[in-house]
Amino acid sequence: MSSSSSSKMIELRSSDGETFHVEETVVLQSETIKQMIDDDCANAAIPLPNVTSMTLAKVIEYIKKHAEKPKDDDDKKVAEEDLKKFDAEFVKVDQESMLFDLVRAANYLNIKSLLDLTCQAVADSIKDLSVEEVRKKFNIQNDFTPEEEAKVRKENAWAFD
Amino acid sequence: MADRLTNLPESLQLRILSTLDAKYVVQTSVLSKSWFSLWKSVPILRLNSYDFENHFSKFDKFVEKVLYSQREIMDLDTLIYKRDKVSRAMILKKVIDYAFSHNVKHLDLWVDGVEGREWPVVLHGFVDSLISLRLQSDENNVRCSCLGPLSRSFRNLTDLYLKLAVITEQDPFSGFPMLNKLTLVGCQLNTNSKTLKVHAKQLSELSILPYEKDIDCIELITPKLKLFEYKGFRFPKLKTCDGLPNLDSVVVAFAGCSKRYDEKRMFDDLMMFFSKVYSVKSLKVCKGIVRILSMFQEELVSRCPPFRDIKFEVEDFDRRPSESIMRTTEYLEFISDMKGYLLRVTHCER
Repeated sequence: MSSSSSSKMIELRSSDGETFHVEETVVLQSETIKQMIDDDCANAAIPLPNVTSMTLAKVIEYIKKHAEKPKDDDDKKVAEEDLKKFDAEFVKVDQESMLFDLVRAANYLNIKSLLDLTCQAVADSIKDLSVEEVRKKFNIQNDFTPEEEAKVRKENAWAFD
Repeated sequence: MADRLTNLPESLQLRILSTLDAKYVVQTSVLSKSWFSLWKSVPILRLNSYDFENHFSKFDKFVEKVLYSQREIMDLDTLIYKRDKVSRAMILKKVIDYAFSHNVKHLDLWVDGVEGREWPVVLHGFVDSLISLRLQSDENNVRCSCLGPLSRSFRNLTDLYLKLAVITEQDPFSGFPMLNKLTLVGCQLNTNSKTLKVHAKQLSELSILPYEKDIDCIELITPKLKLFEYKGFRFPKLKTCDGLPNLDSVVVAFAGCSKRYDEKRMFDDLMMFFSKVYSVKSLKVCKGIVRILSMFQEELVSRCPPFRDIKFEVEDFDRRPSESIMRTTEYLEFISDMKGYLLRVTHCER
């Protein structure tokens, strides 16, 4: 809020060639980009060949929100609550593929909080499902023969009680 | 063509599985061949009786089975064991031994109680890997015999959290040379004196939240202490050796006493307490303390130690909203005066 006007802008280029302008202070949440800036490789647009424009737009939405600084302690509590709500909504993506794209992007860009958030979201979507449901949801090919599967289930029966 | 989940790099699969309780992690072994043994590499093991709807015998069997399975990747980052009701000492001991033999960094044991009322943390050899240890009992006090000056087994331990532990050692913490953060919740002293000694050269954060009234005195030899938090029924004497030269911030609260504790004595104790910490930059107190201070305003001016220019905050962390709290306007007025009171003394002295 205070230094937004004076902050340097960084240009990011997605895999499909779209460019995004983001404040340096915001983009520093990405360790990968921070390293590039530290190494003085950020004078021109930073190419992000692993991240599509759709995913990058989402990532930028996330880091922008997380860069907001509360003014005082009262504000801090409100802001924390607000951020929690934002995070919960953020991972409710229409398409599951987007969630996986975000996991990969967060990993590539090395944004720990986003990686934690998205990995947790994937795990949450697995947690309450049976093995069959997980296979179906993620389209996992069961390459066990029925005999093999029965054997694995028997070996690990103690985890299925 | 592999699916999205199987297609992820293994490091990310492990990261996802790390957030799940062990029961669900083991279940992924049935998904497909590539998932068959992945669970044995997951760096965080979360054993939770809740997943067995508190069928404890099933849970105990599960725990033993997991512990007997050969891991694919030897080292374990974190082991969390959560079990309602009283845990059998034998199983806990196996969990602890397993954690230590897999070079665990973070060990978190959370139970309602332990059979035999003693944590079976047996110290043999050196457990250099351990960085943080939480021994948490929710219902019964459990003896903690892994403390003491000779407990040098955990030489990299930086974070120790004990809940409802019974401390039997006179000098419980000096054996952890790297201890940086110490939290004691509802811990009992079972020593000859009612003095809690905290001797820890590297300690920077200390939180003490006693439920019992058996701590008369806290002796601090903690030259690097930055944050001191105390929430109790009354205020113990503070003894320090060289003062607390690095203390930045103090949080004091009392846990809302049911019977009226002698307020004058409370005030006196508080003045003693303040006299040891007046060099702090930030002081946070509960409303109950503001009420007590407000009852002795004149004495406050004459006896309060010379606080420097501090950040003063009142936080609403009293356990129960006290009906005896002053009316809001009165209260707010006093709060705005309070910092003035604390500082005015400084001006008088100059």
